[in-house]
Amino acid sequence: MILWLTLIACAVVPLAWWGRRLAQDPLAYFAASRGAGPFLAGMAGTAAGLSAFVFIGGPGLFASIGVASLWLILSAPLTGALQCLAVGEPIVDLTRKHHCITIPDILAARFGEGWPRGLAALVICIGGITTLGVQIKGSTLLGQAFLDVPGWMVATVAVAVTTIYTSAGGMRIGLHAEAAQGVIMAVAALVLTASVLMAVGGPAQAAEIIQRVRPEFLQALPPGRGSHYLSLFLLFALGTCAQPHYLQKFLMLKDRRSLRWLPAVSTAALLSVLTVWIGLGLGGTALWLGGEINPPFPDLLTPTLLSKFAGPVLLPIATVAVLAAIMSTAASLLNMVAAAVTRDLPLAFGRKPFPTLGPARAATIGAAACAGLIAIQAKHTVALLGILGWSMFTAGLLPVIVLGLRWPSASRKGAIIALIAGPLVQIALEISNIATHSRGRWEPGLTGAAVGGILLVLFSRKNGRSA
Amino acid sequence: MRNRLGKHAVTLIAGGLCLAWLASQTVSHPTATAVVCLAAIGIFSIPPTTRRHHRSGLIGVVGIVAVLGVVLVLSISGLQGPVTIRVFVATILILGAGVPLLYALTFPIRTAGEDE
Repeated sequence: MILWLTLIACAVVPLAWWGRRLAQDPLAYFAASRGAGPFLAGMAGTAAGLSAFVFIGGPGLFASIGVASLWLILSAPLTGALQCLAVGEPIVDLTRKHHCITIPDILAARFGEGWPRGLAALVICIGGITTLGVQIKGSTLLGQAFLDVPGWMVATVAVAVTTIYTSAGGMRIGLHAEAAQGVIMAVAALVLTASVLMAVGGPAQAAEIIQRVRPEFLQALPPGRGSHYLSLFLLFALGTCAQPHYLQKFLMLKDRRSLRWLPAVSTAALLSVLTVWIGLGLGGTALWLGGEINPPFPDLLTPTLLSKFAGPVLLPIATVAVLAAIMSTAASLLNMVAAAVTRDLPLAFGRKPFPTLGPARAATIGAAACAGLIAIQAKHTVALLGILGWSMFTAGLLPVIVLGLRWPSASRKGAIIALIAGPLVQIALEISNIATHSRGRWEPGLTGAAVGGILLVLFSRKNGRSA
Repeated sequence: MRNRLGKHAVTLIAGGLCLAWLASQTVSHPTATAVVCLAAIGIFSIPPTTRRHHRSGLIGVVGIVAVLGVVLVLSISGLQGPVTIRVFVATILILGAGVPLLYALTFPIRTAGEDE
């Protein structure tokens, strides 16, 4: 495995060199020179959106709570089209008109400079670094139990490689790398799913084993928790419309027509990769309950499964796929945090953005270091950390992106208040959940978004349109 | 977002939906949450789909919400056992094929004259 990691580390040098040659201006560095068609944007968007959360946290969640975990992915067939419909089309229109290259650029174009841009940049920094922490923690788990090398080594290689090529070439190189990683993830997921389900005797056999040992794992909505799981369904259905690493891809489209087949590409890729959640979750849980494997805790279901059932061919495929998942998400988030720090925050304070790409490259490295610290300190599971980062984006950006961009009367004041209130409500609920050691009835991200949405409508109605 | 529902109506409904969401979480009732889920997905999909007064998009969205509605009703009614997995997988496959296709087919209708 150390050989594989060394090969990946060596491959980054020509990639970074090529990227540095291609990315010479902010449009290339942050928006991939706006040259993406539906395939490139769809595969890259899916790869960026899917991460260690899907390969490690997803099957782990299935092993913790059973089939109810599928509520998190039941919205997957809707999200590609919903994104394009609700936010992709207005973002592409604003991009063509105002030449936007970041998500805060879009909000500044719609609601005016200053606070809207600055608050959106802040949400992206906090949510982005938290989500990056998930990727790094996922890497450590992967190394400890799956690759038979120290976790810190895998995490260091994955993050260092991603940081080097993203820092050098930004999204000009990151977009192509993510698209390639998306293809690898989709193919590998299908192969892994088929292998594990064959090992357990097929999906029907797996379901029978679970039904015999833990029938409560096959309840669609566990008693007393129905509202919670439906909330997660809605969080992941609507939340995708507010995830900046998805939305970023709309800024890279070469024309409006590219939107037409984008949902078909992204949905096909998404569903292919999500077979891991169902296949490894179902098959792995059956093998666990049948006594054939014994992972120490649910997050280690995938590594345990692969170390037992993956042969010399399958193990490298799985390794590359999981590393690709981690690296693709990390690349987009690093680039967005760098844009927020070096472009959007200075513009929000009335200053000019840095004229060269040097500070953006340095900010990319700084963001990776901050995320590493979070991963070291984090005590939550990968799945919970993933939801935390997702919730921050949902609470902060969903009202202003989904309602604000479409509604002509949405005002600057309403948008600013929504951008402040949503994350505050979400953070307060997260702190309350941590203090009480439970996930309360109020899903933090959606509750924050709901409060933000109400305030956006109320203050816009009261003050009229000001942008 | 000018359409039959009016310039501001949809956003006001969305604001009302946020209130309904908070109410459903207060009572922590799955049925109330399920209704809000369906309404939320519908409200964000229907207005842009029905642009230019074309009904095909609306029919498609109603079909999608109906499929989701059936799954939610079954789940709230106590769906359990191996059939749960079959229902979930079938839903994902049916919507996974139908939704992107609906988007692509209605795209020229919605954006006629807007492209470069």
